Amino acid sequence: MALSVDSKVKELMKNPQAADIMERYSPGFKTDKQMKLVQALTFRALAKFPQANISDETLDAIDKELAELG
Amino acid sequence: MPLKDKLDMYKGVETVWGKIIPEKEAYKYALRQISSFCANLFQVMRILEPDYEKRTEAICEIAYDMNMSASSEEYLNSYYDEWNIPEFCERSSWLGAIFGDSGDEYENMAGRVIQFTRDRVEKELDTCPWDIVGSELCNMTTAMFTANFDLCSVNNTENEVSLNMCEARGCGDMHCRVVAERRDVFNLPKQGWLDHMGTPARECHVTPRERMVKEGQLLRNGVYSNAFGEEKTLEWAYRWVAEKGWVWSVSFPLVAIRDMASSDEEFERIFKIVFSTAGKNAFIDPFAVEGMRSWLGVPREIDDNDGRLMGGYIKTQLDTQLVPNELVRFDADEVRIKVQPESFNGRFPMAPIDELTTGFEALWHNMVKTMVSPEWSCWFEGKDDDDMFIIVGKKIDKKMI
Repeated sequence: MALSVDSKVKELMKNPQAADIMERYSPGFKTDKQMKLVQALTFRALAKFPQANISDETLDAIDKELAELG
Repeated sequence: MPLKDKLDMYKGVETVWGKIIPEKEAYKYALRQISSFCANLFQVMRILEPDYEKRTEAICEIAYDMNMSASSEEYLNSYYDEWNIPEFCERSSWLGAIFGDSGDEYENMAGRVIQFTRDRVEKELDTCPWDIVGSELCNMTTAMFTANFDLCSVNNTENEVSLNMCEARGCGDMHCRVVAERRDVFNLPKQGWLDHMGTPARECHVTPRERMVKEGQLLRNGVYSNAFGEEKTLEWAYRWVAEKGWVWSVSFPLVAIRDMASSDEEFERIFKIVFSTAGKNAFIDPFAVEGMRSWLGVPREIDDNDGRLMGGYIKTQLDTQLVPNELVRFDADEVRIKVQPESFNGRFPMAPIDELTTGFEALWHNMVKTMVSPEWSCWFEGKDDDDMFIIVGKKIDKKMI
């Protein structure tokens, strides 16, 4: 299944290319242990929490890059 | 004096058959159900990692890290404000005990603070809803306390105390007892994760059995009052445990336990087997079904081979756990309960647990086999949709497990 910001964090973590994209936009995505607590959230849902500090523009940019993975 | 106009109002959960489960009983039941899920999860852990020390250290590390990283300076400042901690109190590790004591009382871990001073803190517990899980969890809570003490330490990074859970209900002791003593005052070494069940430096005060309590302050008094006089109500604490009880006792250890499996598939396979077994055993005794019927107020018109027994039981569980749900079908052929995966798995919205769906489906599917009969099954539909349906119905499957 194609990955997007509507994929769950754990699905994004499992794909090395997607994880690299996420790490670039959201430093700590691959290494922060807290990410394991939120892995059942979609990235879009995670981005809604103020602590995530992800703007709508960033979310769109991430979605575009994930779509390019096919 | 004229008659009252109407009956007084009390909070409670109404079962499908109109029996009222009072708020206090519902709260205690919800706590024990969270504990039961945690106990099943720990069985999964024991299969995946046979070495006691390795698995205990793994969950301790995770629980510590999660507690530390969830707490910012802003959080800590609001904590001092929330608990009305006076400015003249030295901000060092001993104040971390406020976290521990409040958490205990929110979760009906009934007991008392024996000593609360800068150099030494002693807390004694007479009950613990999680006392069925096993001592790995007792150890894990000491890791969480370590985080509390670290956060409250002078530099917010490393605590000044030696921490010992020298008694634990989960180990068969009469009490749980947690003692934190300043290392510099009592000349004590820094501890590793598995060093926290030792003997404190100074003698403890043991409350005799006849003065022990069975319920926490919230059930005895309706409020919890901390050392500085701040209060929380039962209603507030019930909501807190319905979220956070799952986080500390299921989400935290799950992070480590998933990593103990060779693959996600292996984790899920063992997880389902353990929860299935627990479900089958829950109602193996015929008197257990009788007890449940009485508790839910099931009328005799509902006979032994009726799926509504299971449906009514599940609905009450959801209600006591404060999970929004809707009974969309309830007849002799089928029960259908609508929930949202977002709230069913996301008791704490920031940390949903997909394993709640996996676990409860395995648990209830097997539970209905002994509660009602093997003709009946329980399965979930729409797990990836906005609405999920918990269904109790008759099903034939030649490979049924």
